[in-house]
Amino acid sequence: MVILHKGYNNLFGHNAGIVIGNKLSHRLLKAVIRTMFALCMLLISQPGIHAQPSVSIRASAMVVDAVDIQLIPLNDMIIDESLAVAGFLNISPITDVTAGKIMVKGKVNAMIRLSYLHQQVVINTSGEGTLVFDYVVSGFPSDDQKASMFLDAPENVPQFNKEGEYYLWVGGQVNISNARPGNYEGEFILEIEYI
Amino acid sequence: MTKQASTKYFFLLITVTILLMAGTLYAQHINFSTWAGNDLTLTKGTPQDLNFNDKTPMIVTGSNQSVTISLTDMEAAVLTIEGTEYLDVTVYVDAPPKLELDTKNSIPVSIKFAYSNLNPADVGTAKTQAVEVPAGFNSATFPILRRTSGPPTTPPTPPHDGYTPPKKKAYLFIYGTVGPVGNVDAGLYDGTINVRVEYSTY
Repeated sequence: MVILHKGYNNLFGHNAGIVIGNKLSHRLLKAVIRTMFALCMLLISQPGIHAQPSVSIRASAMVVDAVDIQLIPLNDMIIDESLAVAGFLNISPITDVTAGKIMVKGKVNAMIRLSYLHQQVVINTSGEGTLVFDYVVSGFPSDDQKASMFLDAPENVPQFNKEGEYYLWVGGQVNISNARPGNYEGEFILEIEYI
Repeated sequence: MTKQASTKYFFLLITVTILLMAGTLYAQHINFSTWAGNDLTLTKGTPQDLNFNDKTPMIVTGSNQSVTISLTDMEAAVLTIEGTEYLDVTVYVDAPPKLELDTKNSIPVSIKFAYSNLNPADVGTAKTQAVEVPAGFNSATFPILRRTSGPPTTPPTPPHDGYTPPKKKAYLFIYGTVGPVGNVDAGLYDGTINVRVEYSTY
């Protein structure tokens, strides 16, 4: 109280505090303290002063109904025995135009796992004789044989393209040493599953 | 001087005092804000969001399939925190328990996060140094720049006129698992993960 009164005297140059008296100034001082406290609270609670950086991240998953996979043969494998060497004919699925071609249709952009039976015996339907196939298959998301990669390559993760297509080229080594003239029919077994 | 005049002077004095004091308090808070609030930033990196189809394009209804994006996967969402290097920050990650198509269709989701605070050169390095926060925790407190070894250095120079404390970047990674996918309708399931960061107070 004394300090407050002295302050008034210094500021105004007269004894205002003494005239007011202790009771009134005590009440006013309490009012001042309350007002200051309220102002402090007001300032502390001002928006922006304690703004905390925040961001929102969207987590999402597109869920689809199961979609069938279609295999559409485009070219048969052509076996030209005149090209055989020591009873074996090699057809590269990447470079030979005689390789078979299959289009697989499925879900757009979906990744797939392909596996196939590597060796198959093909029977002569008109008599004796067999052909033994050791299949080698390459694949690519577009119709570009030379860009295709062997399915067995670990870095090859087959994926349907934006049209839901994936292309396969089938070649390999054919053992024709036991072949006889005639028509041969056999199977190429390929298993495809979504991953 | 009359009592009435004195009272008037006194009220005038109080008013002037309050105005002066209010101005001073405001200025102090502006300074505080500059030091501890405005220099802390949180920004999205690449990828910005957590898209489980980026990991597995084909998520099929009724398949009981679960898709996990791990910390080391390139599909994990990246956030960058930039702030005063010697200060601690607390990160809050508020994630939903499920992704929803509508009120009837949802898929459980489990979100995790990790931080990297060794002043990594890039996001790739940050990932290899990241500390995974155990599942079930939704906040973590760590310094913007973590010391790798040795005793603590001398106390940092406080910010003052003409001097801004050095800033560094720390990284956050958001990842997790969605599924198993039950017999739900096909469609886009989503949810919002809110991430907030602030300087820690003790």
